Amino acid sequence: MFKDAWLVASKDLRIERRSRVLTNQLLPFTLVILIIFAFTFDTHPNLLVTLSPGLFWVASLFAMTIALQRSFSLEAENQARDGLLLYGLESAGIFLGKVVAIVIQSAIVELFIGFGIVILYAAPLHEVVFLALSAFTATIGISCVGVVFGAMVTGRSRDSLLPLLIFPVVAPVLLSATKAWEDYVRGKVSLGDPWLGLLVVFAIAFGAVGVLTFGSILEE
Amino acid sequence: MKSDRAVQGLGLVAVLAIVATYILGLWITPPAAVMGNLVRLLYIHPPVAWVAYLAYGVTSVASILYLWKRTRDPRWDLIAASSAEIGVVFTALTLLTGSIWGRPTWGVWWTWDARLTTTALLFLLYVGYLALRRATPDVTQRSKRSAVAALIAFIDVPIVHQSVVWWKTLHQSATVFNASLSPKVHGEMAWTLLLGFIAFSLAYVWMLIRRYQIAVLISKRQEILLQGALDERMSTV
Amino acid sequence: MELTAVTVLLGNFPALARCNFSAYEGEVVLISGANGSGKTTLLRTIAGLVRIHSGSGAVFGVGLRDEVGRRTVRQSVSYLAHGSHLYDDLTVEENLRFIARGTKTDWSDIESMCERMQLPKRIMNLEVAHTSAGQRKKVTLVATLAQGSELVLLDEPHAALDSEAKEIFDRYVAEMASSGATMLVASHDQGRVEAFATRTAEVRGGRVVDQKS
Repeated sequence: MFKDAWLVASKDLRIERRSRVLTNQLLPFTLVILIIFAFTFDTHPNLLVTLSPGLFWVASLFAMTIALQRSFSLEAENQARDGLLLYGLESAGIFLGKVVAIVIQSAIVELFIGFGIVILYAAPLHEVVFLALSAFTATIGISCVGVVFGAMVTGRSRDSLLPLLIFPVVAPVLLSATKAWEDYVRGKVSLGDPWLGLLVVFAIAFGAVGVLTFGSILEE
Repeated sequence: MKSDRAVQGLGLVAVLAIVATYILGLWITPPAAVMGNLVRLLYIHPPVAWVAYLAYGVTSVASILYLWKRTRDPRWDLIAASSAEIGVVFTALTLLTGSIWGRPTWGVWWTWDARLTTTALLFLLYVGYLALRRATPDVTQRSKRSAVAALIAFIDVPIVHQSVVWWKTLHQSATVFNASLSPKVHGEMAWTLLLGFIAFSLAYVWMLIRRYQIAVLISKRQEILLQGALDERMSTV
Repeated sequence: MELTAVTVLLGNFPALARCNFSAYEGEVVLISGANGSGKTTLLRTIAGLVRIHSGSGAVFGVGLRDEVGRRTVRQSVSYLAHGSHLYDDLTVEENLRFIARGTKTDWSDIESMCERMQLPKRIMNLEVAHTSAGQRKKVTLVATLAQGSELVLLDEPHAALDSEAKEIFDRYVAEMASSGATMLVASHDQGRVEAFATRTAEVRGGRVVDQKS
């Protein structure tokens, strides 16, 4: 399972490195989002600092949705998805591989957005280690849900369904991640933070759902 | 058919019970001390919300029974889908009646209370579920995928609820459900409310049976169409 | 392998309509038929890629009806499909290495197959998107044949190949056939396949209607 996961993840990341969708499309796109936020909230400059945790996650989620669509559209070209099935890769392995690739790409995007809000909104970061930890956990959870739904709907002009399916499910993740961030701003830091706990529960629950059900989702 | 009579009878009883609830709620029961006539929404709003949750519960159980290999049966999928449709309608009604209630009592159509937020997200989760069903033409694929989506929603609801409750309790005190808005329910009011619950539950059961029957007919029709397509395909020899 | 009264649906269209078909070890079957007759769906069914609506089927004694069976079947057959299954953004070598690791095929087997099919060395480092249709076809052939499966399914193997490549391919397939591999070949290029086929099966209206040796 983990061998197959690594095979799929490294393949996806290699394609990403080759096609440069991440650097040429996703990162500029998030920059646009950050600038648009600045336009809409320009009445009170302090507002941007206060809102920055939420803005960070909204921008990240948009970018992740695009990355997910991309991740499955490349399996649709030349019917590569059939190939994955024929090679006999374990479906749980394919699921984990896809998740790992999405998490790594998202982490890069989030790092970029993080720099963006520090520089553009002058938002100070507190407790960077915990911040990174909660963001990472949240990203894993969102990726697990996203990969399950991505495999269900991508291809055949059903892409537009993906955000409708993902956003309501990951709403508690966005809420938790944002609130955890606000806690860190207030200097409330501990591993027992309930928000962090919720993020962990979410990631584990939906990781399990993906591992268990991906086989029947993948097959036509 | 005998069983069809029974279903018809059930529908009739449900309608009568709802009418009775309305009559009791609008004319017989007294206005409340603080809320006045607004209290009459009490007989509609909670029962409607209860049916919404009941419907989603049924969808979850049926979906899990479908996913579980030993109990897999296409009928579970049809029940899950039928119930989810009713659930979405009743969640919409819940949000609507809640809004109508909220406007005069709290002065706003909407507030980010834990229960409201959870209900709104629940509504969207199952709107997504229904959209996914519509977008997946293959029957078996639709059954499997929508069952997974229902499972995800089922796991998600408590997480959503917990996060929203914390959101409210950790960061600002609950201002919405204060004492004056939780009227003491007693006497004929309690009976009317109970009747409301029973009436809407009966209506749900009736709707579920009818919707399920329609779903069965649709899948039978598809089988007949398939038979026709098969004959046609085989006669091209 | 054996299919009994198998119906396969594509949406609501019965691509296979109560199709009966069987093939035994060592047979090379030419599957002929017009466009839309169901050749590709027949091969996809045998490859374990599609769900059977009704009827029953088995490959190497493994049932095609349940998910687990189809998974086993998918692993044990080699299938050359219309889609190349290749990733356009990866080079030919990267694609082949991915397939080799996925199917647990030795890299040396792939290399020798590349030589056999006379795949030019210089295209190994070319991205698939920049190769020609014929080259891509060769790459897919290499990937399919190098797996050395006991059951090989080939869907239009000659399409897009030039005459020289067709010759090379035919020679190799004839060799495989004489060494006892089981092959099902769907092709419009009947003359080429008939040369080494042990029998012909014609697909019409979603069924195998005519079989002759």
